[in-house]
Amino acid sequence: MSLQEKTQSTFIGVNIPVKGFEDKKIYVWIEAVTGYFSASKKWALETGKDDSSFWNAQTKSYYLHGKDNIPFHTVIWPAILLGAGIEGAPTHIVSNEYITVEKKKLSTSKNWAVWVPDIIERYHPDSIRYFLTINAPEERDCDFSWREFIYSHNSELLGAYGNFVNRSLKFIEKYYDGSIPNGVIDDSWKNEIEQLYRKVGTLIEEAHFKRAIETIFSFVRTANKYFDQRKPWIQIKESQVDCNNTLTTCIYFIANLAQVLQPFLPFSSEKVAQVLCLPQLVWAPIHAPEGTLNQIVRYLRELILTEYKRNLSFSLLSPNRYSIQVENLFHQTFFT
Amino acid sequence: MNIFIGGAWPYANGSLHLGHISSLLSGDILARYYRAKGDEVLYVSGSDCNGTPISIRARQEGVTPREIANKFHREFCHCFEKLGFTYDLYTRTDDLHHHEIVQKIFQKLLANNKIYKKTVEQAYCSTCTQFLPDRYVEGTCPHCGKDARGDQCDECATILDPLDLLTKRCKICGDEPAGKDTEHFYWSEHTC
Ligand SMILES: [Zn+2]
Ligand SMILES: [Zn+2]
Repeated sequence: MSLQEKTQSTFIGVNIPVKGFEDKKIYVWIEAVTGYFSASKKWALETGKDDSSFWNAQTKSYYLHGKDNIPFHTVIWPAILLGAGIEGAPTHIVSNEYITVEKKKLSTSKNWAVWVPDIIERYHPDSIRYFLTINAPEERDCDFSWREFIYSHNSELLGAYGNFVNRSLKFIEKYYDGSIPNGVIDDSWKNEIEQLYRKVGTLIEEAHFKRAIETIFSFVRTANKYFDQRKPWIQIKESQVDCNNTLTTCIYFIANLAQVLQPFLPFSSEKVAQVLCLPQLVWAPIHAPEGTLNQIVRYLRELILTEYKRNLSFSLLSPNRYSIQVENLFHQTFFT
Repeated sequence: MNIFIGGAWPYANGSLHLGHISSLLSGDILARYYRAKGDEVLYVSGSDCNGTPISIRARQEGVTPREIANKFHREFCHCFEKLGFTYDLYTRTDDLHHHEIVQKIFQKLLANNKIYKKTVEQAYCSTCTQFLPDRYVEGTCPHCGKDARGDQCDECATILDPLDLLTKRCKICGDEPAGKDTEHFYWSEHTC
C-alpha cells in the first residue's frame, strides 16, 4: 500500500486532546500545518538562500490566523515539529476574534460579507489597512460598518494625518518655494520621536497592533497641535528664524511618521518618502531631510488619499456580491 | 535576529472576505516592521488547494477541482498584491514540492515512533465502497434495544463501537455494512 492509500484511513485515536479535531484524518492535520515548513523549503530552493536559520530555537516565529484555527497552531503543529525533530516551534500565536458586518454575523453562504475583490477596487489599500488595524478585533469581536469605515478614513487618516502632511508641505511650497528650511529642532521633540519608535516597536513585537497605531495617531494629533500653536503663518512675517524652526520640525515629524507608519500604511509612506526624497524607510529616527521637495511628485499631484463620500443607501449590485455605491470626491488630497 | 512569519492559508474554494484580511494583515505589519529594523525575515503563506470543499464547489460548477483552485489562488494573489502584502513566498498546497515535504515529515514521525499504525476492524459499506465513520453507522443498541448511532446510544448513554450495533445500517445508502480490517495512524501517548 502506498503512503497515500494508507492515510486514507480515518484517524480515530484521541490522544491529541483537541475538541472538534478528533475524527480528522491525521494526514490532513499534518498536511495542513506542514505548509509553513514546506514553503520555507521552497523559498530556499527558489532564492538559493538557507532556511535553516529560521528553524531553530533562537528564531522568533509568529503565526497569524482566525481564532478557529488555534488548536492547529498551539497543539498540533508544535507536536509535529517536536516529533519530526525540527526546532523553531511557534513563539507567538496571533489570532483575531470574529468580525461582524453591520452588526450581523458574517455569512459567506448568505453573501453577508465584505468581499475583498470588491473593496480593493473601490478604496485605497491604506484606508482598508488603517480601518482593519484601528478596529482590530484583538480582544473582542469587531463590527464592520460602511459608515464607520468612511468616517474613520475621513476624520483620522485624512483629517489628522493627511492634513498635517498637506498643510506643512503647502506652507513650504508657498513661502519657501519648496525648499526645506534648515532650522533647529528642539531636543525634547527628538526625545519624543525616539520614545515613539520604542513604544510602537514594542507594541508591534507583542502583537498589539491596534494600540501601536493608536499611539502613532496620538502623536499625529500632537503634531497638528504644534503647527496650530506655533502659527507659522504669523511667524513668517515676524520671525524668520522661528518660522524656519517650526517648518523644519514639521518635516522632521513627517519623515519620522512616514517611517513608523510604513508597516501599517506602506503606500502613503512611500509617497511621502518620494516627496521628501528620503532614502529607504528604516526603523530608527532620522533627521529632517534637507533640500527641495520632489518637483516631479509635486507636479504629478499624485493622490495619496482622497475623501470618500458615500451614497448612504447600499444596494445589491449582483446576486453574489453586496456592495455600495460610492462617490469619490477628489477635492482634498495631499498635494493639491 | 531571525523572524519567521506564517500567515494562515486561505481555502481556495471562495473569495476572500474582510475577516480573512483582518486576521492576516498583522503578518504583513510584522514583516515590514522587522525588515525596517534590519532583521532577517521569512514571511510565507499560500492557498489551501486540497480537500472536500473544493471538490464540492467544482462539482456544483461542473469544472475540475484544479480549475476552482487555480481561479481562487489567482484571485488571492491579486488581492494580497493590491493590499501591499509582502510575502517572501506565497505558494499553494497542491504544489508537488509541498507533498514531498509532507510525506517526508510523515515518514519521519513514523520512524521516530511519534505516530504508529495499528490494524483495526472498521465498518465498511460495500455498496458505497468506503469505510464509514462511527456516526455514519446506525442500528439497534445491544444494551437497551433502542435505535442508536455508531458512536453512542442517546437512549442509555452507552459509548458504542459501531460494529456492536445489532441490525447495522449505512447512513448514506441504508445497506448493511460489514467489518473489514484497515490501518489507522495514532499519535503515541508520550508525544503530547
Ligand atoms: Zn442503548
Ligand atoms: Zn452505504
